[in-house]
Amino acid sequence: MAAGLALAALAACDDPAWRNPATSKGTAELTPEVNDAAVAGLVKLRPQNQAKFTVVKPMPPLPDWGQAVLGKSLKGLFPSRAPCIGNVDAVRTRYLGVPEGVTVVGWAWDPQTKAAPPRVLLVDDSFLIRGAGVTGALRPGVPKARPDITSPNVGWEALAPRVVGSLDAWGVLADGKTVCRLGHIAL
Amino acid sequence: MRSDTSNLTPATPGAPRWGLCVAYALAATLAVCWPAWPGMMSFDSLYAYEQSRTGIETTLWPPMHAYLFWLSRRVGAGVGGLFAFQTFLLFFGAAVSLNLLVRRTFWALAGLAAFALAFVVAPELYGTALAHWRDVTTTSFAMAGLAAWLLAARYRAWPALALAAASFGVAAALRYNAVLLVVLIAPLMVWAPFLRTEAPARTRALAASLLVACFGLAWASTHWRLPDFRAMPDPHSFAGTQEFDLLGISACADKVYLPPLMTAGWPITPRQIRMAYDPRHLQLAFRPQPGAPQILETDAQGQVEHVWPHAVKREFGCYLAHRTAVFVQQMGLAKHDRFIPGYSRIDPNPYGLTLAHPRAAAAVSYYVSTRAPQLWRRPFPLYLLAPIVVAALWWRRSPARRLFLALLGGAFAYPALLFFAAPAADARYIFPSSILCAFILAAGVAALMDSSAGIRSAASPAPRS
Repeated sequence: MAAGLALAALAACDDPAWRNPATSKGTAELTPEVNDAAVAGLVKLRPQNQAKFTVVKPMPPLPDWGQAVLGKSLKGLFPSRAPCIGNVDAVRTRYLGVPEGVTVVGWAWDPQTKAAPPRVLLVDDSFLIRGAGVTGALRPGVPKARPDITSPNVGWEALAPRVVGSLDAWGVLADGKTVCRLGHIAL
Repeated sequence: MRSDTSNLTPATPGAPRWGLCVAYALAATLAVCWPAWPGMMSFDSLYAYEQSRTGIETTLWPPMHAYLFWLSRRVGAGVGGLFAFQTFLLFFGAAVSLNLLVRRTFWALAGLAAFALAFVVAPELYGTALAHWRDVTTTSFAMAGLAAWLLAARYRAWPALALAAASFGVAAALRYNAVLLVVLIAPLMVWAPFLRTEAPARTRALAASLLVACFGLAWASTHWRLPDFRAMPDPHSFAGTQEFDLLGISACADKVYLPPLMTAGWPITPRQIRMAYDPRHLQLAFRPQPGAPQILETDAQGQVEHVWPHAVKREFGCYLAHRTAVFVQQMGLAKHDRFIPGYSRIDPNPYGLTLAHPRAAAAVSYYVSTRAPQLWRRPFPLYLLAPIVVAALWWRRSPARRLFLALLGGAFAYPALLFFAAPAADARYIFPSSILCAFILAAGVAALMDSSAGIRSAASPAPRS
């Protein structure tokens, strides 16, 4: 009988009232225990832009050419500017492993060569290069919205080893010396 | 094998009956292995197999499983070799133990049939046995250890005692918590190495040394890898449980105890935590919820470990409520479902491992998945009946009562730790203790009937001529 009562009591815990989301009245405010951790410097800055995917994995490595220009001045490496069309769409993936980082995505189009700039650089407020990527990703929606763009392969993806702050995206044109600004994003 | 013949009265009432045990284990191995050949494999199984080929990268999963895969491949038996070995060992160990504990062949056969029947009546036992899960291998070595110990007692043989200690050591190397499975058996082995309480101090010291050495090696196997003996970093395997606890405590207390990095810095409400929380498995909380930030599988760079003790202390009632909710699922007491009562496939893999008999595998998997949720076919009745059998053995003053009590202690200590430490309520986690309970029932009742038959035959008048 005691065993039966114990079983009944345990089975009652199968679906306790506290599991019902509808009865929740709590707020998103952090409890003092978590706040203490924040005060102790354990809690990081909160990102401003929610990524489509967040994974606890290391950021994939940058391409070799991108690694070579990381930390260098955009102005020093690419003195020429030109106009182009493009955008920074979103933070697609946030990597929380070691190294941390983000994949930023967008699209780009060079009206002079009627092609997408082959490479993209991500640059911080001091014009230092913080990330790199390439174009060629399929974006069929872009030529649909803008008939002057004649290729669907105008999408780009770029990696940057940082998860907070903001970045500007610059396209590197086919001559390898000229850059054009594509847009800005807060991570 | 015999090293001491000073006391000629056998310590066990029965004999090993080798032929019967081999035949029984072979039949059971065929019934388990043929439909699932070369063994169902989940992520855990394939990861261990991969590490057997590429070397040990982490001790988050104890590497002994990878070593056993390596041995199986080394002798040319492939993945299936380990599958057949662990299944045979489980049933052979149980059969030898049961035969040693029961004098009459009839009651030994009845006990063996009852033990096999447990896999049919509680299909999650069968479903778990079909897979390459460490829970099964752990149980196999634990049962082999028991058999070796009983053989050591019967023949007063030190090599068999060493084999028993080694088997328990391998079981502990496969699953840390297997130490609890033998939490009373180990002291009993020291106090009565050959099941006789009049053991000299030297014998007890030797038995203790054997156990310490084997459990020490088991511990070492999770800290240094083979073959280069390189020290492995601490895998922080408790972080998953702590993350699960913070989710459960937050859901119950209606407060947010999740460090911000668990949601990549995005604010989350207790309502959203309740939507994500599921006491069946931590991983279920990581599923994307519409309109809610995604909860990540992370120790949040040490924040989870930092916040956990404070949260448990502050919300101890909620901590117990959450752990009880997990335990209810773990023991099969939940009303509607049984969580992962088996595994029905070999996950996609680059090694070309596929099921040899997919139709048979589908048939047995269907049987397990449809029958396991039935309330009366869940494992908890085993845990209710086993103490009754042990109580009956004590009431009848059975010579094996201490042994059965030690087995029962292990069968209860094992899930007791899971109450506090389980990061999930997979049915397979209690496979070792459920099998121990099934063995206690089968062997205990057979031993009781055996001794009753003995009393009756001794008391009955001589047959008329």
